[in-house]
Amino acid sequence: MASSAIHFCTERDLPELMERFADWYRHNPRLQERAYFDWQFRDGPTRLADAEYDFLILRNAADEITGCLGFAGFEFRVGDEVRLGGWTHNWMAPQQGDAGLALLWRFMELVENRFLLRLNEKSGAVVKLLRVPMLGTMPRWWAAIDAELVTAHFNIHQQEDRQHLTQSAEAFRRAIGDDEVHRLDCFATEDEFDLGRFGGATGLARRTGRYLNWRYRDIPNHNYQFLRTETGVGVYRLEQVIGTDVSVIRLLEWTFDDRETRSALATVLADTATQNPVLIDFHTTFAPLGDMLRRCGFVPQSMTATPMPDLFRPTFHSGGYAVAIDLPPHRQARSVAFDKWYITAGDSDIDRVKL
Amino acid sequence: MTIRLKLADLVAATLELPVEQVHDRLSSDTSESWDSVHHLMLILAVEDAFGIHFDEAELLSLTNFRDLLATVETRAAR
Repeated sequence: MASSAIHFCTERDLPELMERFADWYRHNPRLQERAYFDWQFRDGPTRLADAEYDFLILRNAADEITGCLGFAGFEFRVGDEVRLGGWTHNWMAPQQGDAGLALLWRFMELVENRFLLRLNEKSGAVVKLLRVPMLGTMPRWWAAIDAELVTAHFNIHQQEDRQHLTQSAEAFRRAIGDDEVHRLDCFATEDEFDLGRFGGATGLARRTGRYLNWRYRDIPNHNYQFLRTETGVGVYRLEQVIGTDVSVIRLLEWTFDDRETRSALATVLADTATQNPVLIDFHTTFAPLGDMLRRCGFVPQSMTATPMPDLFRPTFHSGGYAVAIDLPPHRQARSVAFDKWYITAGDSDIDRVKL
Repeated sequence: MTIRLKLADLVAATLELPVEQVHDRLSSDTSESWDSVHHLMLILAVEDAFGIHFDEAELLSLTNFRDLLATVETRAAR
């Protein structure tokens, strides 16, 4: 560590940093873009560091960038409290001894409530040693919109799997309502959506209008669609399956109840019909939402023997752990009921190519 | 067994080094195997073996054998 130095990123560091990103994140073009970096680490609604960017840089004795750790602040609800939290991005310190840990420590000094996303085997091992509860795989729910096309495009041929597809498509079709919900271009800043209708979640990042606008409207080179009712919210995007003429609808936020879901799904289908969607999915830890979606034809990822594909365009995910939640008291063995937290894949699904 | 010997054994086992290579100047700067994961493994092993607890600030600063030994000896004497 004596030969390394850690400092907050400034404008002057960006040309060299982007060069490093072109190597480290060569499979994720979004991460190599300056506009995306500014949006993520400078322009967020809740900043953690008194610095130009919420981003730490590691330099070696030759003053070269050899590692980094970015983070984003956010407000979250846990029980009856609103707390300040931070989640990590781009934790990278290849072959840098214990300097990767030093980066993590600088982040931990800034915020007591830490959420570590998409950890690989190495970073996951570090977090596990700190006795931080971790979730391996983000639960996924999907429904077939067109069972035949799903079979054809995703090579799901086992008889039992095809039955599940057919049943899912039939149940999904029956769930579609006759009316629709409101579409909108952005949210009122002071709006806030929660999961009270589901009995509440143990914890969730506050879905305020300000947060949602930053997360889904202001993000460069992405295209999300917004829906809402009086108290519910939905955000989705359409993803073309590369090399085909079909697409997949990906829900990023969904707090609608049963009745609203039927209307919201009708709205989504009406707005995406020309793009030939064959599948719809939602990644969330919050079990009551999964139960509700099940009544609308959605099934858990484990339903089919041949796994339903999750990636439909060139992108790179290193696998590992989906999320780790490190709340005080730290370094004590404990558990987190992840199925009572509202966490969606959209929280970390930001490096994908725009459609 | 002295604290020094017991700690040297722990460091050697955790970093997968011959115990003869564990000396006061051994540190995360001089040992390739003393990386983030092994550092944490070492700290946790030391806590278990000596029945002590390091706070978060100490976790990162104890990256050489000499400081680690001095801290363990101080805590063990309490």
